[in-house]
Amino acid sequence: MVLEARSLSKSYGNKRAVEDVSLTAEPGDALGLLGPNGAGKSTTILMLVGLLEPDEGDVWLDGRSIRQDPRYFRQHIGLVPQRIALYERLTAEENLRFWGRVYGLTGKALAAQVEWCLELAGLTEHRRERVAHFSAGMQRRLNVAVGLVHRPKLLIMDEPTVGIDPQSRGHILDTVRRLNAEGMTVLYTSHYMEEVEYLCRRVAILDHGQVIAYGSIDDVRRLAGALSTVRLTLPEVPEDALAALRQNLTLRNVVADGNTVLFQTQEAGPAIARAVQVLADHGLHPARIDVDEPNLEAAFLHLTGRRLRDGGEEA
Amino acid sequence: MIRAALALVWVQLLQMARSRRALFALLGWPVALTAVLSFALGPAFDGQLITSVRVALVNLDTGSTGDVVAQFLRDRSGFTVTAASSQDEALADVAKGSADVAVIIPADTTEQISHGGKASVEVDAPPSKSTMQSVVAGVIQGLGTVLPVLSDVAGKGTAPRGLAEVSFVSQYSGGTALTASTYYAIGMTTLFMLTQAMNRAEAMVRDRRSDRWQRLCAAPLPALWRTVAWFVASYVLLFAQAVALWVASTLLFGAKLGTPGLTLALLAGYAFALTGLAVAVGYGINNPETVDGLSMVGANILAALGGSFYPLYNFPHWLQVLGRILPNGLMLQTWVQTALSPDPSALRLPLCVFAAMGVVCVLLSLGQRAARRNAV
Ligand SMILES: Nc1ncnc2c1ncn2[C@@H]1O[C@H](COP(=O)(O)OP(=O)(O)OP(=O)(O)O)[C@@H](O)[C@H]1O
Ligand SMILES: [Mg+2]
Repeated sequence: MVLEARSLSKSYGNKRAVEDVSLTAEPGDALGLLGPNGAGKSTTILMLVGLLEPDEGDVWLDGRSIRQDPRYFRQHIGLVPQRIALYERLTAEENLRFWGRVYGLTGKALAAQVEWCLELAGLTEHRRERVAHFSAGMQRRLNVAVGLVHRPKLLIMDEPTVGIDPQSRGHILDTVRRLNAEGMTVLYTSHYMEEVEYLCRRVAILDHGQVIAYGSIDDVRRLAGALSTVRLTLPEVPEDALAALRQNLTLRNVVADGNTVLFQTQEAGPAIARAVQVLADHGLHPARIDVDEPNLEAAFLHLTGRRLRDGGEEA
Repeated sequence: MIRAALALVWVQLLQMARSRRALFALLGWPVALTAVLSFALGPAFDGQLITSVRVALVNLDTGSTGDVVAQFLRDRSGFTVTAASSQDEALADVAKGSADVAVIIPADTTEQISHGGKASVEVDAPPSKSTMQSVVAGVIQGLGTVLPVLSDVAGKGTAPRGLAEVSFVSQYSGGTALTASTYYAIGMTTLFMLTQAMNRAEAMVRDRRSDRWQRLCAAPLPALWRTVAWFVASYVLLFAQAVALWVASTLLFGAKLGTPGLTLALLAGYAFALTGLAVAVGYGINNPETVDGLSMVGANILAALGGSFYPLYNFPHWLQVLGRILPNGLMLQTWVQTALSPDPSALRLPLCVFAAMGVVCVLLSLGQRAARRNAV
């Protein structure tokens, strides 16, 4: 196990920000930490990297406790903070060189890492421009790249794509996905469920400081008990075909909507196969099949009765 | 680790050097204000500096110019003039402390001046009163230009129209006249170093609350090195500012700030104390607005009490004592004294005070940081 956090709790004064949070990450894992504003994501991360001492609980990296060996954590974790953490009057290259030095890199190794990071961030051409003159997306990309300058074992990112254009967002997501595929362990914090679904194998959903769901993405989706919605577009929808579909118990809520048949189901794949066969028996062939998968958004809705984004706080 | 700490010093200096606003606050504004004060307020300064200098005056002049000079000194608000009958008596008064400064107007004053020559008025004081001596000397030197007018007003037309030259001599070596540009160069440098220290403290508080600081704390650079790097960067900035002001005042405004060695030693010591203060405030206070307020109000009050805006010699006695206890007041007074009569031994106590203050502040801030359980 690369990372193990056990029963972390933290209060700010009377406010319980994080309560009894336990997480693990295997080598090469991509773990998502999903939760609305104020859920305690950043607080959890600060405890994982040793910037905030937990009231209770402990964290291990490669079997070393953060209380005994904080240096090991500092050396092997790459942190990408939530807000831009760069020197804005320095150029992209100067920033990378500085942070590389802070991690003890010098000489050729430093130069090579700086090149690599510039490449990753897609900023090679803008290396001599000051960060202050960058667009929000470029700043975000550099913010991520700086966290990678020492090739950490574990990359911890706190909402790295907040407030940027779709291209830069896609760039960051693809970069992280590639690094993860190459073996880097990733902990990714976000309140965008699409990002977590795209990047991560496993997810922990945090709400009011507590983990309310934790496991593989599929498991968590299923927690919601949410059904996939399937839409079949047909030339026509005769009553007898509809009746035949309704006889199949795995297809629920079968309804016709113009030329479209809609139904819901636990598992979309087999259900569609069955439905297509039933329709073929009636001489009908779908022109188009759409599936709305159950998603983390639905799971969160199911678990808390609230939506993940917007107004997650007030309940 | 040292390399990483040096890198941290370097980026801070670069950040500063690339900010036009910061550079202006560091150098532009101080130089401008020093210029304004030394030129615009110069006459006011020369006119009414002293409130409490006791002058033992001997007028040996056979002509009438001596009377004019004596009357001029008596009319000055800050001077208490007593007449002594001889040079020896005046010097004895000064020696036993019943007067601060002895002024001896020589017998040939009128004669010299009426022949377009140079009158040499003697101004004497023990080293401990060298500041007052310099002030009196400055006033007497300035007399040259007003003497003809004064003579007219007094109805004694002995002095020629046009400029008369009055110089002063002293039995004590190294006496220099204290001019407005010298005084304000010192006062402003003292003030702006203080302000700059507060700016650094504020920058530090802001930085500590930033995610950049989090990132730095999550890196393997030990906390002590972070503090050291902050200290060094701030020290370099303060010292650079001091040297720049010193050079500018000397070259541009004709200030006479004393021998380079002693001045640099003083500036180094003062910058050390202020840097310590900046780091302590930077670690001790969490709200940047509080620090901002502190530097706006506090630094200006300190500067006023320390004599940066208006010469301390005008203040009531207790305020003068207070001014001497403040680090900037101590700096100002020591520097003025050093500029007037360089004396290495006079620097010993202030430098010790500055060193102690810097060390205590740094220890305090390290303690504060340790007391906080979190790295940030
Ligand atoms: N330094 C602090 N002092 C007091 N309360 C804090 C502090 N930091 C966070 N909190 C509170 O703790 C709770 C958790 O905050 P945290 O920043 O960990 O949430 P988050 O999930 O990262 O939210 P966001 O998505 O907005 O970044 C919030 O209610 C927040 O108001
Ligand atoms: Mg957060």
